[in-house]
Amino acid sequence: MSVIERVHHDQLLRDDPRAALLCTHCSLDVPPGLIDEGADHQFCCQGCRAAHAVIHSCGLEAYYRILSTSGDHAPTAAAAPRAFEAYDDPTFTSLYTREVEGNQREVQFTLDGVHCGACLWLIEKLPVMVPGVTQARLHIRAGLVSIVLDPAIVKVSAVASALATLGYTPHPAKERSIRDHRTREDRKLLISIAIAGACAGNVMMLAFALYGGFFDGMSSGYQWLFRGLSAALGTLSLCWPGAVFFRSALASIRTKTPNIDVPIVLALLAGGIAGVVNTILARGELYFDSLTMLVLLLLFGRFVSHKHQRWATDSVELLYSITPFSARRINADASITDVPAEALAVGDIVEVRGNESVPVDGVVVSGRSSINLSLLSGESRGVSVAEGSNVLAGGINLASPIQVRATATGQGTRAGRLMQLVGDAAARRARIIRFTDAIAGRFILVVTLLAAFTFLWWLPRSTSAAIDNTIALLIVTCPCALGLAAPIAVGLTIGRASKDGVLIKGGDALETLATPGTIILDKTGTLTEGKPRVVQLIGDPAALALAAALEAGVSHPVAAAICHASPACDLLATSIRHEAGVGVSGTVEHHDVFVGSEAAALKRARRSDVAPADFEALRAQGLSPVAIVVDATLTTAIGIGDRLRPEAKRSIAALRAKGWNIEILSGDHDGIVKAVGASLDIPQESCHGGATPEAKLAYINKKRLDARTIVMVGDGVNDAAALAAASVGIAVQGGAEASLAAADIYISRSGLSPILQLIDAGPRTLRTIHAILAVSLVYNIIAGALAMTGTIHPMIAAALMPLSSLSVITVAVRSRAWPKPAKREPTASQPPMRNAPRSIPCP
Amino acid sequence: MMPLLGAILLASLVGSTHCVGMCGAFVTLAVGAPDARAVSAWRLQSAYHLGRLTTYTSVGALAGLIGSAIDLSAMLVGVQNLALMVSASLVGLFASFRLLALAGVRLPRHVFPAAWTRLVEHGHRAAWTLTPVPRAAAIGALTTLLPCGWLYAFVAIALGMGGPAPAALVMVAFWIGTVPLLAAVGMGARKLVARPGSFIPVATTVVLLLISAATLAGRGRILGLTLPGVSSNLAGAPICHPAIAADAPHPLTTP
Repeated sequence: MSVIERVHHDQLLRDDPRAALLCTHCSLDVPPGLIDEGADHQFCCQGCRAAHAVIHSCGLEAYYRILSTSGDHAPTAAAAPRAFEAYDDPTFTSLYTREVEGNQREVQFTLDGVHCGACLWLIEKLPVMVPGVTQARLHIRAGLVSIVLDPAIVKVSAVASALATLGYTPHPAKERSIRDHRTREDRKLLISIAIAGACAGNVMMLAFALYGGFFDGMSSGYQWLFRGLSAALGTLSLCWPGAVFFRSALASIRTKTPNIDVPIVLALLAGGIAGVVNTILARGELYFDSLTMLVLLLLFGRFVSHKHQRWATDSVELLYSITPFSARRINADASITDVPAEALAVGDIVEVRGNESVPVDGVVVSGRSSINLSLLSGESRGVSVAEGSNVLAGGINLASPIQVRATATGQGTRAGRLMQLVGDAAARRARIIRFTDAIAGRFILVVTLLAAFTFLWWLPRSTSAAIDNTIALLIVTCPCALGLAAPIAVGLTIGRASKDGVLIKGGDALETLATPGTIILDKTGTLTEGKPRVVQLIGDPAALALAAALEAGVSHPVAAAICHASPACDLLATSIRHEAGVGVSGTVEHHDVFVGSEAAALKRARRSDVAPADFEALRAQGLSPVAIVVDATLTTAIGIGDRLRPEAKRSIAALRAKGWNIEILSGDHDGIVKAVGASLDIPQESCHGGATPEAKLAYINKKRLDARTIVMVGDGVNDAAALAAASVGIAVQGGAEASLAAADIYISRSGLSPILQLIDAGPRTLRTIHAILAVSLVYNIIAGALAMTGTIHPMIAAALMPLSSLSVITVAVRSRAWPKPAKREPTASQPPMRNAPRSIPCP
Repeated sequence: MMPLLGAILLASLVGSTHCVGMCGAFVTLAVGAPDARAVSAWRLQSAYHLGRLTTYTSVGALAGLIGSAIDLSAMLVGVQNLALMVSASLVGLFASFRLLALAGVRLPRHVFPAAWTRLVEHGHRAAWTLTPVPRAAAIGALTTLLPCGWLYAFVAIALGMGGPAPAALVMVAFWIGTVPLLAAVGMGARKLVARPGSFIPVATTVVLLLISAATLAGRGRILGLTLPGVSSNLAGAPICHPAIAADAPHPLTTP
């Protein structure tokens, strides 16, 4: 539209919005009812709107200028598509890329259409395909690719364009958008499954009608109608939900790296084309009932494996949501601005109010409060902070507002680094899945060669037999069992385990657990309850209740142990005095009571019912002795220590029975570790105490030289390195941030029984996969041979194919690779003194 | 059949002033691109129009096929001529909306699926990678995908024809009607094509309604169209699809 016309339009629109306007595209009158007030462009119909969009998208806007000036001049040439030019803009470079070593830059994209191991393999080949790209790493669960490139050799737009050519449309990534992207992908997959299901259901119904008609007779008109409808629905299923396989196969062919989607597509294409041709010629079999069912089953398999893999990491990914989306930044003039958390820089001061989470790692500059860091440290009690205290991103401010000066933001925070670690761990894939992918590649080649052979063999005899037998072979030997076996079996086990409180971060851990080796246990928190408890009592038990009343308000591990041992006593303590490093004294029920060290107690007591040898005996057992003095008499000595878990002995015996060698590696005193080992029948040479984190790591590395499976079970920061070094690292409940990140498996349930379940699950999962592969192989050999010899008709082949996929899923689902827990183990919250040497009644 | 086709041709010819506006851009670009100067305009024009013809008839035949499937399914529940009723309703709906819009009635805006427009855009971008003659053919073929109510109204009429062949013929008649003005635009004579008077959209919409009503009144009896599977003297009697009644004469062979 010319400028004059534009002005004329605007004038008209002001005077009378319903007055005649000209269509931006065709310059004819816009019907008054279609005038879009306030819009820049007016159109007389949807066609013109679309045509205008097309002209613009092709860069042919010059047409309108020519039209409004001469109208008869030839237009200019079309501009090249300018899809990713914006990615070379300096703003994009500064916002979405970062410099890495050697003048290279790293850029992250979220990708559409990432769904399986083949995508990982394909995308990570980018450095080979695009010169200038030095590294490409795909986080398959997040659909996020990190690319390191040399900007002097290749532009970001060229890399983006290459990704788009492979079938993965890239979008600039920000961590937040990953979750939205995942939700979108999930929704897309679900819609695809729904459409595939609707198509399959309807085609099946039509097939029943046709089969019925086959035996009882059906008029040709209805046959034509039902076959036509089957073809239409089948084609819809192949073109819409099935398109994902075609895109994947096309990309794999482009890069000459066959994946499992190639034979699937080959069968879909062969069946689809034969079906359409037979529909048009009104003869022969339609394969759409089988094809639509196949598409549905394959999509469902993909969805299940996606969902379960994500399920396992979702609890860990809660970390994503612990850092807030926005923060209150305090400006130089003391005003407060709400800014996105990403906009915060080191040195900024932010205000964190009560019940809000801290957006940065930093130092408190004003205010006093209590912070809950349970997600990072496992400690659920609040930690007091005041001016000068360090706080961590993700911590929740439990009380009053504080102001924090940022020392690290975003990825630089501990929470951020943890996310990165977990993400890296999650990117690993089970060897068995890689193995099935690899044999699928060979399978494609073999089936294609056999199909060619079958066709050529039958061609001189009969053309229709050649076509039918080749199609029967391609359909009946569909490799879906190969593709489904490992992901479904592993996915189901991971999913069931996570329901049971065991988060398995990758299939490879399960696979490693299938071979027995050595399990190295950390004493604290694994074999023992991990909390100080009153383990032994010598003397008058009634004094414990008096001591508990005195210690009720004290926050000290010893006080907690005493209170735990004698709960629900409503005795009142008065005149309480704390003496740091000595103990607590006060009056309870008219008695003068002191609880503290042996030395201090002996000073206060005029008489002692407990011999010094008793204290020595407590020490010898690795317990901390505490004395209770009542009215100047040392009445009671208690031994505080970490108690063995009640089921530990039974679990250790069960593990040993399964062929596992058990060792203890702990930072505790060697004597204590050996004592624990002795009570669990673990040989002394397998109990190692006083191990530093470095020593633990060195020990694990030394053991790994034996090349047997080394499983490390631990919970503390000091175990993190060892957990990472072991073949399988298992972090147990209440574990610290670092152990959570380093471990392959996180158990949120206390006790050793989940470890027993895990040890069972490994071989069971592998057995299931092997069973499925064996079934699939036998099926493929028999059915393939029958198809090649012309013994089975394509119709029977088509009926067999969904049956084979269904049987695979049934075997996987029925296999129960994740064992049910034997029975609920007693936990630390249950009555504390059940296994204690002596009972302590409340007076 | 001939009177119906004649009416469609006439309506298409008169209404093609709209086509000039909407598709003039594409014919101009297909024929007049700088790299196409060495190629004869005649070849480019032919390619463009044949491209259109191919997809018009394909879509028409598909509509006819769907129509016959609708008829056959409807007969399962004892309803006859359903495709024709669907066709008439669609045309009636389109015409009513068009007339209401022309009368200035504010209608709820229906937004065409963006994915559809993107598909056309992709197609056009791909077309521009071709050499001039195939490009002209591709641009012509893609015209059918533009969400043009006028074009789709004729596809709806084709739907009611009861079979792919007569439906394709409807689209051929429509295509013939659009060729003269679009060819003139391609020859650079856009200025010669008179700007249509405001009565044209109303008139063409009314003609469309009339055609639809006429076919509905006796599946084209008024216009001389013979019902498929029924001899002309039995028009109005229960219809039997040729696919079912194998002994019935073919619609196109019936006088």
